[in-house]
Amino acid sequence: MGAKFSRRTLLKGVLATAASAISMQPFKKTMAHDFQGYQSNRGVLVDLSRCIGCRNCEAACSREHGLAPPDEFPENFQLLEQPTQGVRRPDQNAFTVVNSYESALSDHPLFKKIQCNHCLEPACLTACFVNAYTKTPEGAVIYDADVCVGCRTCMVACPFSIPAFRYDSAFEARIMKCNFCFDSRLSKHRPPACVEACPMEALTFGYRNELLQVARKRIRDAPGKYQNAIYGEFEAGGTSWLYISPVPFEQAGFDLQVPRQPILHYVKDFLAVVPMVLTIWPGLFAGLYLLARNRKITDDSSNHEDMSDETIER
Amino acid sequence: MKPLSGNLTDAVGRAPVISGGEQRLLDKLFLGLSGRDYLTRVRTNPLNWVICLILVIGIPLLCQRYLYGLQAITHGSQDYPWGVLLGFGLFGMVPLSASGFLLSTTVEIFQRDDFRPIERLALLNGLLGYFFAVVFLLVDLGMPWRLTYPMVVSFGPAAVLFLVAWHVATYLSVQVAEILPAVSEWAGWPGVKRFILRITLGLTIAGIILSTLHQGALGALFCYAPAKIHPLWISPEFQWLHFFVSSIFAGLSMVIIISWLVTKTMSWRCDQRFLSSLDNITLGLAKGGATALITYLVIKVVAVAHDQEWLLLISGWGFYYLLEIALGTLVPLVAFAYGVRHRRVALVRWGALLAVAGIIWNRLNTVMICYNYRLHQEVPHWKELWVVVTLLCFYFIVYRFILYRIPVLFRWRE
Amino acid sequence: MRILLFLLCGWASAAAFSFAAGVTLPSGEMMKAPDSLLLNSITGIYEEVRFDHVLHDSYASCVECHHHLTGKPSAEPGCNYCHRFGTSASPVDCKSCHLVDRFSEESLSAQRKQTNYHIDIAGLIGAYHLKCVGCHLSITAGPTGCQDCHRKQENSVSP
Repeated sequence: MGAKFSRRTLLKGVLATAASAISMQPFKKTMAHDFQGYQSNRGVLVDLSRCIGCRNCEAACSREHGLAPPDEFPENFQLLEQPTQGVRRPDQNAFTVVNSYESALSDHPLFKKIQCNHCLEPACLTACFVNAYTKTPEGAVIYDADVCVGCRTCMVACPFSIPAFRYDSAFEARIMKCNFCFDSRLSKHRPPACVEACPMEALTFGYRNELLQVARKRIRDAPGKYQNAIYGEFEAGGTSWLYISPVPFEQAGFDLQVPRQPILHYVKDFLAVVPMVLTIWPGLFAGLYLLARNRKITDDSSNHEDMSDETIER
Repeated sequence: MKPLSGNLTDAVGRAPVISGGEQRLLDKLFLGLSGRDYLTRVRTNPLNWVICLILVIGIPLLCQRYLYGLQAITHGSQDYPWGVLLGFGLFGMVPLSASGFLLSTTVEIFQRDDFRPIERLALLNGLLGYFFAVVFLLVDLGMPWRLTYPMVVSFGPAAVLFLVAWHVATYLSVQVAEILPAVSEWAGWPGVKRFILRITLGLTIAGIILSTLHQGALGALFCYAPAKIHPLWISPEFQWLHFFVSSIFAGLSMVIIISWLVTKTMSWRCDQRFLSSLDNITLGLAKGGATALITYLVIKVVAVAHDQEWLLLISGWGFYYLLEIALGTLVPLVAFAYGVRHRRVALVRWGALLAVAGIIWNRLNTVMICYNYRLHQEVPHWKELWVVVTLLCFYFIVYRFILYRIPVLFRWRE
Repeated sequence: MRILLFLLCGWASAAAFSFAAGVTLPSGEMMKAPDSLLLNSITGIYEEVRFDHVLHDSYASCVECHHHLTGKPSAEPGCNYCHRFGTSASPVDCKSCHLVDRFSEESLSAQRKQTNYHIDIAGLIGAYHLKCVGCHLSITAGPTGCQDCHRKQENSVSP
C-alpha cells in the first residue's frame, strides 16, 4: 500500500493487459491431420453389384476428353469374356477402365471401374515439387501440364498407381489421369461423363458425406448383399470415389494394404527434421571445428611447430 | 593417352609433362605433347576403342530418346515409373558421391591433415558424381527442358523432391567452389583461390548440411510409397537415416576404389605425397567406413525390430534381403575391420568394392526390384541399360580429362 | 333376349378387362393402362424404346414395376416395413419420381430436402435398367442386350 500510481505504471498495466488479452484469443490454427475435407467435396459411389461391364463409362470418358475410343468394343454389353482379373489399368490413352473378376461367391463375373479416386489428401499433390496438382473445393484432383517436369514421383506416390505417363511423346509428355471432368462438368456442378453414361446407375454422384449415408443405407437395406464396409471411406485418408461390393474387397481386386493415413503422414516427420538439421548442424560442426583446431594448436605448440607452416601445405 | 600398362613412354617416345608453373594453354590441354602425339596416344589406347564402341550405339540411342520420347529406350511402364536410369544414375550415384562432404569435413572440420592428399580427389569425385546425376536426370525426365521449374517457375515446397532439387543445385555450387582452388592453380587465378580458402569453413559446413538433408531426402522419397515397397526395404520412420548413414561408407569406399584405380592406371600423374600416403589414408578411410557400416547394420536391425518384420526374414524376399546385407554390408565390414587391424590394404580395397556394389544393389532394390513386389517384376529394356553405360562413359571421359590436368593427384609447382 | 345376355356378358368382360389393365387413383378416378409406351425422355446414345405394356401386364402384377400404386403391398420386402398398409401415390409414370437429370445440383438439393427415408432414389436411366434388365436377368428371359431394346444412334461409340 502506498505505492505511487504513476503514468508509467498505468501505461505498463494497460500494455500488459492488452498483450494478455490478445494472446488469449483462441488461435484459429488448422492442423493437417484435423482437416476433414471440403464440405463441398463431391464424390461418386460405385456399386459393384450393379455394374454389368458394358463399358459405356469408358466410351463416354474417351469421348469427353478426345481420347481414342476403347478398343475391343463388341456390340453385346456382356463382354470381357476372359476375366481380366485386374490386368487392365488406366494408361496414357484411357483415364478409366473396367476389369472383370471371377468370384467364388458370385455366379456371374464382377466388374469394377477404376480411375483416379480423387483422394481428400492426395498423395500425388503431396509429392509434386512443382505444385502441378490442385485439389479443388468440388473434390477434383486436377493436373497442370504446363508446369509438370515429368519426374513421375506422383506415379510412385499414388497408393492406387493411377497416374499414367505419356512416354511415347518427346515434346508433349505429360501425366494422363482422370480429372473428374472438372473443366467441362464438375466446375459447373455437373456429374462427370462416366456417371451420366452408366445405364445401371452403378455410379451415383453427389456430395461425399451424403454418398456415405447412401452407401450405408444400401448396405443396411439389403442385409447380406454387400460387404459391411465402404472402400474409400478411410483408405489413403479418404477418397472421393467410394466403393461397395457384394464380395470381399480383395476378391474384386481392391488393394487392402493401402494405408489408412494420407500419404503425407509418412513424410511429415522427415520434413520436420529439415529445419532442425539446418539449425543444429552449423553450431555442431563449428563447435567440432573449434575443438579440433584448438587441440591441434595445443599439439603444435607442445611440438614447437610454427602455425604458419600449415598455410604453405595448401 | 597413356596405355593402361602404366608405362610412361610409348611408341611416340615422349612422356606427358608433369605440370607446373607458367605454361601455354595448349601445353596445359595437351599435357606438353604436340597435337599429333596427343592424338596418337588417344588412338592407340584400347580403352578408348571400347568407349567408342559403346558410344557408337549409345549416342544414336540418346538421339532416339530425345526425338521419340522415353518409350524409345525404356519399357515406358505405368506400373514402374522409375527404372535403371534413375535407380542407378540418381539413387546409385548420389551416395557414391558423398565423398565430397566426407573428406572436406575430415580435413577442414576435424583438422585431419593426414587426409589432405586425397581431399581434392574426393571433392572431384563428389562434384562429378552429382553433375552426372543431373545428366542422368536430364535423360530420364519427361520434360528435361523444365529442369529449373521447381527453382524458378512453380514451387511445391511440401514435396521431398523439392528439397532434393534445391539442395542438389546448391550443393553443386558448393562443390564447384570447393574444387576451384585446384582449377585456379591450373588456370592461374590466384585471387579466386585466396577467396575460396577464406570461405572454406563456411562451404564445408554448408556441404555437410546440404548433404545430410538430400542424402536423407532421397530415402524419404520412398516413404511416399510405404505399401508398394517390400517392408524389409522400406521403414517409414528411419528410411532417411538408412540412406544417410549408408552414404557415408558409400562415399568413403568410392574414394578408396578411385584412389586405387588412379594408382593403377595413371600413377605417372600422382605425386610422391599422394602415392606414399595412400596406404595410410586408405586404412584411415576404412576405419571411418567400418564405423559407418556397423552403425548402418544396427539401425537396419532396429528398423526390423520396430516394424516387427522378424518373420519376414524367413521368406523368399527375406533371404534376398539377408543376402544383400551379408554381401553388401557384413563382408565389407569384416574386410575393413580385419584390414585395418592387420594393415591389409588389398583386403580393404576388395571390401570397398563390395560395399559400393552393395550400395548400388540396395538402391536398385528399393527403386525397382522390391518396388511393387506384389506385382509382376519389370526387367529393364536393353537400350536403357546401354544408355546408362553410355552416360557412364561420358562420366569416365570427363573424370579422366580432369585428373590428367587439374592438380588433384599432384601439387602444382609455382 | 339372347342378344341382351350377350351384350351384358360382353360389357361385363370389357369392364372386368379394363379394370384389370387399369388403376384406381387415390382420387377414385380410374385410369386405363396404355397398350404400349414410347420411352423417349432420354435419347442421346440410343433412340427411344417401344415398350409393350400389354405383354408385361400378363407377366407381372402392376405393383412389381409401379411400386407406388394400387394400394397393395410393395413387391420389395424392404419397403413394407413402413409401407405395409400400402398407400398409393398419384403419379403413375416412372419419371415423376425417378428424375431424368438425377445428378444436377437442383436434384441433389431436392433429394436432400426429403423429409423421409428416401435418399437413394435412382435416376430414370438407372431405374429403367435396374428394374427391366434386373428382372430379365433374374428370370433369364427377355432382352438383355443393349440393342435388343433400343437402337444405337448414328456415330455412337457405345455398345
